[in-house]
Amino acid sequence: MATSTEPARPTRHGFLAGVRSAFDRPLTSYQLVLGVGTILLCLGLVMVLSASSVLALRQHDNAFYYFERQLLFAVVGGVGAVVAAKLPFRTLHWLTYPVLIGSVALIVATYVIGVEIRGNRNWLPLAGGFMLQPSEFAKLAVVLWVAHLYSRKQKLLGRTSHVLVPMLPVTAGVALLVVGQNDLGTALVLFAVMLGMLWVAGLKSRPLMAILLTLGAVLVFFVAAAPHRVARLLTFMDPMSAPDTDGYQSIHSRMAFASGQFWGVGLGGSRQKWGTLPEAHNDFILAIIGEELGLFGACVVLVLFGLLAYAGIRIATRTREPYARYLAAGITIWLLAQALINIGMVLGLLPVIGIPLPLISSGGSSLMTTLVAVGLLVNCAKSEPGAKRALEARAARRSGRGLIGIGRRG
Amino acid sequence: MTGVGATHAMTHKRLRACLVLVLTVLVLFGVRLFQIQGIDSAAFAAKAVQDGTDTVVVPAPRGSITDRNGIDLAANVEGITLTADPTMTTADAPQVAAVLTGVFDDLDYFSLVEKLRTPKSRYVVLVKQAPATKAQKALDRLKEKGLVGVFSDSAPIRTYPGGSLAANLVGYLNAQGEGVAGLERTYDEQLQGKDGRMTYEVAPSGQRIPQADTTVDEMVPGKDVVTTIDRDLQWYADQRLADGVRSSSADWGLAITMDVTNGEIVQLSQYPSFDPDTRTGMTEKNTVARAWQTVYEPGSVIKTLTMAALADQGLVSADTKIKVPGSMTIDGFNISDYWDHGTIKLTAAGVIAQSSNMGTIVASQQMKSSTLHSYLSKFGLGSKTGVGLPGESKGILVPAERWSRSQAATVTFGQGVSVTALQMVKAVGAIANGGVAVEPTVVSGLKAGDGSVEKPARAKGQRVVSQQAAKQVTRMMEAVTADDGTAPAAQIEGYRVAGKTGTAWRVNPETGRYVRGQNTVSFMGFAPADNPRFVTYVVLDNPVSSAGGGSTAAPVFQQVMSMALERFGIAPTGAKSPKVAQDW
Repeated sequence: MATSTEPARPTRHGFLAGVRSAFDRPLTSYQLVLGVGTILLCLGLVMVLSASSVLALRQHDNAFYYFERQLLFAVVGGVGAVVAAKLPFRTLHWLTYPVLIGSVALIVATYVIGVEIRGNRNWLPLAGGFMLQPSEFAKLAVVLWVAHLYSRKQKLLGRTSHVLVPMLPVTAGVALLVVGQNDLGTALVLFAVMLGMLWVAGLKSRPLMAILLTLGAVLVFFVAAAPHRVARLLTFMDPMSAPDTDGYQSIHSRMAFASGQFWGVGLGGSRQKWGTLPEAHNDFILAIIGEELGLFGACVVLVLFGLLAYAGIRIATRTREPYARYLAAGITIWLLAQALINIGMVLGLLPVIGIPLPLISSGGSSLMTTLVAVGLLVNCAKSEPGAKRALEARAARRSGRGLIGIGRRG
Repeated sequence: MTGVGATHAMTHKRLRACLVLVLTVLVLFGVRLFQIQGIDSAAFAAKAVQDGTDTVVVPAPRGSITDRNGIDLAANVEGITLTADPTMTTADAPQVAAVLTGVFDDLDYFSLVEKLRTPKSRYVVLVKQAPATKAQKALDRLKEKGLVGVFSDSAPIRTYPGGSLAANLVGYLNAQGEGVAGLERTYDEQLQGKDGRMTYEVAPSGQRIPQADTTVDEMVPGKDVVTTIDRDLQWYADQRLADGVRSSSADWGLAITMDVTNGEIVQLSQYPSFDPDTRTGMTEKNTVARAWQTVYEPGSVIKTLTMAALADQGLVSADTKIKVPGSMTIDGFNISDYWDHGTIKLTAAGVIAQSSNMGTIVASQQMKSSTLHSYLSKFGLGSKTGVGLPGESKGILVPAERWSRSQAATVTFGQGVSVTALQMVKAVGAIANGGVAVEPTVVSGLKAGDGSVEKPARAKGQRVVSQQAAKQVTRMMEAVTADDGTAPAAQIEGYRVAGKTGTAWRVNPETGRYVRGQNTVSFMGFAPADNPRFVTYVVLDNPVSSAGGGSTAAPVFQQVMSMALERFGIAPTGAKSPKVAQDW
């Protein structure tokens, strides 16, 4: 409805206006992050159950083995997210260095007592058969630290040196430690976060280009130094050249998507999860979504990540707290970079890099840190102008309604 | 503006740029998804299906061949079959037999040892329809003791519960399970049914994927062939025929009984024969189906057809007087009767009863050769009977214009014309059936798995001679089984029996000439003569030279026909054969 305060707005734009006003409320970001996060998590749980059941039954004689573990991590991570959403920024600032140092220490520990799985020496054994992937925590730690650093240096960021130091050496150092574990995927995400934060912090184009080129050169060298990486890159160009070795996963990923067509073969109906597509419940879970839920299901996932990106950037641009701005930007860059690399790989647009799809793929360390990150994003959303007041008003309204309800019952 | 403000504005701009970049990439991914799931999906989807599918053939069980009452003559045996390669088991036969009898209580140790030592064989069946557990137990024990040469086979195997019973009619299968003889061959397609095919998607482990598409081509089980054979009668006839062949030292013999009213063959025996169940005696001379594949000269039985042709034209009746010379020479070929006589006076019935060649020639001189040929053709000589069994011969009936004068004479009493036994049964069956020829048939229906029965189309009977003519010939034939006829041995207590003996010179198939002293003897008869139901034909090839149709074939006929009448509950009519004068 056109109100008296806006007489100029024509009524035929009523729908668009409705959408705009719905997105224009102080709690939009808050609700988007909460909603999208919850939907992705639930979709992930369902798909992990579907994609892992065959493997779980075969390996552990219990079709729910991976699902039960994932559910446990989701509950623990959910609690972590709630806590992260409620902690005052003060506490977060205070936690920055313990988290960073702890993460780095754990990564270093993998060099000593780490366990190698599928070529990645990035696992720490824990009690009860659980394994810890410290590099996952490192992503959160780096984002927390950069947000802390840039919010403190807010007034000095006009100068290139303050943007670069100590940010660049520390993040690059952590990333290189991760590269040393052979975990190229996580390292890529860390570099993406590093570049993204430098960009957001206002680093001038020329030094940014220099860093980008340097990283590119390092990457090319890194790939060229190992023949198996060259081979993998070449098969990425043409998976059919090695259908039974390097191209295998890509081809079966394509088969999964192709079998799914528009509406999918139905939840639980995947053929590729029967052992043809390795890591079906893990890095390649989107292929199983595409197979079982079709183009429709896969597009829903893309839209959800798009909404998450929109919400994250919206928080960063609307908040007046520098810390919230850098934290929201860092988390959004991290989650979206990881999602895009994963999806690009599953779609055969990027070489196969072992990296989970945030909130969906099976994997405890990844899910828990991601949930905490989403919690932090919610926390940042609350710092948007008017958000706190809106939340309080809502809480008051709810308790008021509750009282009315009780009154009526009497 | 302060530096902070500028930084802040740039941060906003760059954040928005980040968002635009991410959304752009997501849109590109969406396009890619549309491409690989919507547009280019066919090839990969097909490959996915093709990669992980498995096709299982569901074999259709072969139908049974049953007798007219549904008793199996040929059937499939499910379960495990234990077989042995005697070349491997000969040495350790006693030990192997001991193990097997230890597991299977009902096996006979000595016959087992004998089977395991079957010479010149690489395949003998030891146990049929063994339960899987017992078969496995036996194999395990054999393995423990290091005994080799015994194998198990889970494919259903063909069994013939009657052994050699009606073996030439039922036929048998080759090693590939295809029918190669008899009904097994004629109805191979219907017996086989259609194998089913199930294609389903499998995991790399070979496990079948639930929920995935399964395409099923339904298996259609083979149909049962219900024959017109009566198993008990068949068995009895087999025994009596074997006795007859052995006691007369014949090369081979056959006995066929047909229901003249509808052409159903109720019994078809051949001796010697083979056993398709144990696959013994499977030599060419045993597996050939004598009844419709062997061609021979029928001899005097044809006289009934000659007389029928004459009677149909009103040229003879049972009491027609015929002056019979002692012998005649045609084209330098001397023809006489089997007993010496001067010119004698016989009635037509007497000619048949005494089986006089001379009398038949004299009587038939009233019609042209082409007329006789046309009647013989109408009786079915020189063409297939319509029974539809594999490898049926047409016999040899040369066109009348190519008959020599002597052949024109000899054809009237069954020399110079070749037939199959089934043709003769059809022809004389027509006389018994009041002059109407019906096609002999051995199958009454094809029974599908759902119990529905498909009846094969039957040709309508063809009238060959008038009912009156048939009656006249029947009266002549009744004289044959009279006490003063050629075959009193064919009499059946309480029934009127019409019949005709046959003794023909054998033709050496290599030279095409008659072999002196070698005969094919036969007896054809039907009963009850006053209301005919069955015609039975007994043929004995090359018996001891003194034997005639009346003394060797007629007793077999008598036994088989008696049993047929009894089995089918044909009550005696109680009427007495009319006395017909044989001479004048």
